[in-house]
Amino acid sequence: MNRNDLDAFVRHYALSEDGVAKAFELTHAVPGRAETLQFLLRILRIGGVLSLAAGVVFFIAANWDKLGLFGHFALVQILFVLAVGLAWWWPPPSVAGRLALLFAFITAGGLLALFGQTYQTGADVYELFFMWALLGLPLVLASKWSVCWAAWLMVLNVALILFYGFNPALGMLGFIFFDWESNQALSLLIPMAINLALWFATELVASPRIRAVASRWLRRIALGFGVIYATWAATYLITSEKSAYALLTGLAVFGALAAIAFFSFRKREDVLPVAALTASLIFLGLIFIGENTNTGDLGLFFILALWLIGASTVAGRLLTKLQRTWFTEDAA
Amino acid sequence: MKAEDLRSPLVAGGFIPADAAPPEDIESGRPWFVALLLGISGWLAGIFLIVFVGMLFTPTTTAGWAAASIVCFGAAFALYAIDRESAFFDQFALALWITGQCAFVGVMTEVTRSEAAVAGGVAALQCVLAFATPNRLARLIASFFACIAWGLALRFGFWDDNFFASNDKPVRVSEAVLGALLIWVPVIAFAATLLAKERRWLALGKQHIYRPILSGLLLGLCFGALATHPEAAFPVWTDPRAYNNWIALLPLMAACYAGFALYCAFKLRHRGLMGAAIAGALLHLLQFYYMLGLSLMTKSFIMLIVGTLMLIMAATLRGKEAS
Repeated sequence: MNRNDLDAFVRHYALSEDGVAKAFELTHAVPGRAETLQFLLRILRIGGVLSLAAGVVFFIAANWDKLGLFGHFALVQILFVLAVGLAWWWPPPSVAGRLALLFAFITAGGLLALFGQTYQTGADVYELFFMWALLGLPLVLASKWSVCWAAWLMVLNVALILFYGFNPALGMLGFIFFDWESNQALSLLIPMAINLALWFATELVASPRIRAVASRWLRRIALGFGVIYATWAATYLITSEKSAYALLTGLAVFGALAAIAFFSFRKREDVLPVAALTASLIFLGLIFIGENTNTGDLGLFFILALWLIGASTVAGRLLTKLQRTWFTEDAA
Repeated sequence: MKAEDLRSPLVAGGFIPADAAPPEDIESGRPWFVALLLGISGWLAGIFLIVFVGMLFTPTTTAGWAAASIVCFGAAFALYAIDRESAFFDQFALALWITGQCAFVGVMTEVTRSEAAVAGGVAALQCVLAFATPNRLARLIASFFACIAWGLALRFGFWDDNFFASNDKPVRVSEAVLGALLIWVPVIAFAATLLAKERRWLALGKQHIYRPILSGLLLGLCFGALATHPEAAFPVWTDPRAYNNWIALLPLMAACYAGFALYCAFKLRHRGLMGAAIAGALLHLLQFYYMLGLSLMTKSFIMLIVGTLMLIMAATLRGKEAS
């Protein structure tokens, strides 16, 4: 029972303060001292390592000239090697090993930035992030830890957003993949596919070891990115793209959204993917109405408000019902 | 644990009369992401409605805005009162409720001609609405907006009257820190009190009021400070004006507020709020990186010291746990 259920339960039986305390105790609604200490320990450790890593990144960005070129590289590389050595000594799943690999992963990004900054490689920012995601992958794999995977997923998606979202020319990769006619909506299908492939793969895998690493919150982040790219591509289709590949792109987007819906309804475990889909459809509906309504501004704003109220009402009812049904089935 | 499983030991303990009827449907909670979807949709619909009302009636006088505000609030409260079970009326009422607030901002602007006064008025209105509106989602939104409006009122009152840029008057560090504490310490204190007294207000049957207010306050602690730093709230990336002082530390203070919200969310076992707190803390760290005032070298040393201190604290705590 979560807090909302407990609220309703306490209200129904008009429990006294002692009764509420007993209900809390029975449902473990309030974490005990040991659990709280564990939580604080975890937060302090992760926060501490992230702060140290941020300190290193800030230091590289500061480009302190008194340290010299050799000093800069030596410092960052020594830190990187120390972190990897620590993880070698205390391999994951030990806490020290995982934290060391998280530090090493972030420092690897700093090292790549330092390389680009020093030698003026002419590389775009997205190349830095792509290389970071690629070269950091062994560290993340070795960590066997969802926090490290979350950091990797963020780095990968920064690269994807920079490359596919804000780079119409699409560089060398664009030439390879889109020489037959590139357009923004079409190019956004690739980051969508990457994120959704990660989501489907981790959802399908039954191995407890992999499930432990790819925890639900991490899978939800991958799904969220996938749905955002799909919505972004569909928005382009509705508003601006008049390409020969519009139909193909549209089919791919709605095929992906339908696949998410089909998979979620079949698995009946998590309502959030359905919520993400409905949010996407509400948004796309808004854009579609805005683009295709010729009633003048006055009527348009009224219709948009009505659409939002009506669509979100239906979505809210559906999602709450699904949550109840799937939750009840799960409990049974 | 299900409601039936919880009932039996409470009956055995004498907390529930043995003949008390079991609840028909306890699992009525709405997941956080559904609340988020409904909240954002309702808020956006409210914005569209105020534009519609503005275009239709073109209220140019204070009385016109006041009438629009009263009508919208009246309609919203009437809808909430008529049918509390209807999801459509709930959403429509929420949109009207937001529209009423926007019209209220119009009234305050006409009357006061001061951003600080408008923000102060909105903060007061949100406090009233957080208690008076008979809807959980609206209460949550009201308490979240109250935090931001309260922060903006003090910010505009102390330093500048421009939402997106700074004025020419330099801000002292002591004033900035004092201002930040004045804004956020009461919010932290209120949230901490609500958390500490949770059993009492549950026993008093006030969960429909205090639960959403607590969630709104915690969301305010996660993200509110982004709007309320003097000199460089939103335009951190546009270099409004370089000022060489320690005001750049304010985002780190804001990350601490988010850290407190994370702790409270953990105590409530609310994963959605925990995620929001982590996102808020990371955003504040990003703002710290971009905010002018301190050199990156200084910021780097600060982060290294903070990281070391956190790891030392973790080691101390580990020792305590082992003992």
